[in-house]
Amino acid sequence: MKKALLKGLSVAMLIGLLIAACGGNAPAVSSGGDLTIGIAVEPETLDPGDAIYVQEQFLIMNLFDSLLATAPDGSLHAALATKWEPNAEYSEFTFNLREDVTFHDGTPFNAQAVKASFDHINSEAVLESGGKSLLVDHSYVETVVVDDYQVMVKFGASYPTFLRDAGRQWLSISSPAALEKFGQDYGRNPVGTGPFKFVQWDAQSQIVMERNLDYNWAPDFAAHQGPALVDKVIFRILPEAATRLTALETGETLIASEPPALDAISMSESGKATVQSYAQPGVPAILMINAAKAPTDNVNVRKAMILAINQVELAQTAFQSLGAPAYGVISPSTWGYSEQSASLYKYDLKESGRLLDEAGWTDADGDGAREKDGEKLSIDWPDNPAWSEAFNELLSGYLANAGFDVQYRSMDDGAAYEEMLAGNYNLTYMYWIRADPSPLRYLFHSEGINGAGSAWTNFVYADLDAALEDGDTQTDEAIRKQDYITAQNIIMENALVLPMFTINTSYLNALSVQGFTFDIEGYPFIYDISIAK
Amino acid sequence: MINYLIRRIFTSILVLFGVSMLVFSVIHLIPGDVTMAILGRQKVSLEKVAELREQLGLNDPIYVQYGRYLNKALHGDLGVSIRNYLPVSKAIADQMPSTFALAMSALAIALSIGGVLGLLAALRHGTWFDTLIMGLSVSGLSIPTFWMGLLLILLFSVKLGLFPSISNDSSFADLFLPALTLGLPEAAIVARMIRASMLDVLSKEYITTARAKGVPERMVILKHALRNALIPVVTFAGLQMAYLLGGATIVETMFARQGIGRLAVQSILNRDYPMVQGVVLVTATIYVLINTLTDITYVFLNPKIRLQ
Repeated sequence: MKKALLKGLSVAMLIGLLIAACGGNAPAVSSGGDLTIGIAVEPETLDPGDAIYVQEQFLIMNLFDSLLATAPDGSLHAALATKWEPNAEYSEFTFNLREDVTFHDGTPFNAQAVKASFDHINSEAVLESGGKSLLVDHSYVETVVVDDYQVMVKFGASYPTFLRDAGRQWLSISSPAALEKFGQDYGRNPVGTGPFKFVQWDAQSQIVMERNLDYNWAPDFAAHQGPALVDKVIFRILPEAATRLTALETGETLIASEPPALDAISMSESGKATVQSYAQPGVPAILMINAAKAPTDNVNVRKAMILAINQVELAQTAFQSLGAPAYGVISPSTWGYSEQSASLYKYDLKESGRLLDEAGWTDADGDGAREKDGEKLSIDWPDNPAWSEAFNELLSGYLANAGFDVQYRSMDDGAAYEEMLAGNYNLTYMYWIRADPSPLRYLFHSEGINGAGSAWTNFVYADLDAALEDGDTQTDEAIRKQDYITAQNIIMENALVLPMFTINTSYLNALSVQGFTFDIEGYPFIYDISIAK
Repeated sequence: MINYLIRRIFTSILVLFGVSMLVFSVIHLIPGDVTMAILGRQKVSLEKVAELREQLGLNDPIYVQYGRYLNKALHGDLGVSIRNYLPVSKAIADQMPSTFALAMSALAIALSIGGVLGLLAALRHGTWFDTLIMGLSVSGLSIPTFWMGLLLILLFSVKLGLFPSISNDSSFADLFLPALTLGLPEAAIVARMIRASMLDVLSKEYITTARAKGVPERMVILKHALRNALIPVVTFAGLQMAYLLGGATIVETMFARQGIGRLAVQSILNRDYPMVQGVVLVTATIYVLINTLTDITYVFLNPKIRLQ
């Protein structure tokens, strides 16, 4: 009996291994067909160097390749570069490049193209972009062409996360000929080396890409090699969520991005579509608490706020089963996540009340809101409701239960920013999608106070600054990780943020969509998608 | 008559000038900072904000900004979008054909459906058919466009699968549902107007005379009555055309169509000043132009106005 079982298991394992081997890197047969995707927001540019918004990266990653590629498990892989070597200080990086790559316009990819792309990002032509902040903030010096297929990228300071950033869409490589030819219009005429070529962009309507038949340089973690599997990708710009759902239901699109949670779940449960959801790494949806303005200048008041929030219920109400509660300042899928910092506060209304009592805030007149010295426990929250409509009322309700008097002031981003610069706020909303915890420096280092960065907590603490500074330049991964764990612990021990939920990205797919996976930052990896006939 | 024409054109120019001034001032009085809308919520420094403001000319006095804008506008340059750096005039020109196709199709639906039903209702005045048509026209007028659109999508796209729910170009299939959504309420108005106008004309003495002289009923209706009854409808059609070319925002948004109305909404949401100014100026110009043309045509059609 045992023998038979063992034999059975061995056969099963063998079959499993065979399937795994086939599924790994085997060239897949193209399914063809047009993949139409309903997207909510129209990009402003498709120039990777000039882009900043999330919705742009999703499109750019199909047209371009970067020097390196990050697998969903966070490991670095070769892309346009086959080998890479940092110097001891992590301020100079040498890349050996592939020699068999051509841009969509037929020009060859080489060291000159890397230099032209990085110099373009660093030039006056790009005012403000994700790529620009990556280069400029790390004192980009220059890119040196060593020979046709070797470059050296130099920075004025240590940049330990550059290799990881070199795999991001913002630092993708553009065709130097196209950069020169199109000039200011390059963002509407992008030319890269990616699995899809740009075809057309009809403003407010659609962006069309077609398969690059020469593509043979996919990263080795992709499910197949060679050209992409679908003939064309059509991104339909459908700002209305209801329109995106209807278009999916009628078969006019095969994928709908950002579906409303309830509809997505109901369509998936009725077997009409499948929901794909991914908790994005980085800073989850948090409210930064102003530690320089009363009453949140008191640590007990801040702690009481966090304890008053039921994150499980909040995520469930706002996003149904597609949302997950957050308890820390970075989400669990981020490198360097500190479990300890995320275990400090769990919903406890009683403890919240005790801390407020201790701080001298009591409800003497019995109206539900606590007072001290004749002042109400008021929380000022100037905000653009576009960011917080899913949760602001619920959150205000939780705080009111604990005796806070929440003054939610609805306004647009510009007005809210002015209020923040003037210090007229207790809470402000923030999130930041990034696989690495490095954005914490922008959000919590005291150098970023008063609008110089985004340190809206106004909290000055030498140990926190030191940990964040070291994290930014430390080349020893273990020490660097410890730096960020220290920073997270300090942030949460001092109750500087009110964590709410992880930022989840969701897609509703027609049943014919196959091979749908997410990249490390939560963008669908269209290259591997095929359409079942 | 020449005096009237000169006066009319002068008033139009004055209106356009007023519109441009109003739009320019109002949008600058809204609280908030456009640089923040551009830079978004990611890391921004005060230096960068200041740099961007300077670059966009937002630090100049408002009248300097306006003067600069007007001067360029008169030369056909409506500025550059501060969102995606595209020329505003090009962005508007790109969206115009789609709006034009939608407006014309909606108008054709309104005039054909409304015209036929209004005429039949007038001819069967007081019968159940008349009551039915008038009932339907009240419904057509009362149902909000977004609801009408939803019902049509549900029936024609989701249930029957006959027409697309998202509309891209100006083919018949792509235009059918948006044009119907936009045209049906207009058809309701046209039906009521033609019915009232026909009933008025049919009670006139010259119609009784025509009938007494033995003119065939078909001739009485089509040649003598309908021609006169159509005059108010022509004016209405002119005004509606101007209105529809201004952008059917809701319909364009529902069906995710390209168009000037959607461009206006997106630009307002993005606080894209030059784009908003351009769209409003172009729309107002179309409106004023068509209004002026209608008035001028009227002078030729109706001698009474000429005499006044």
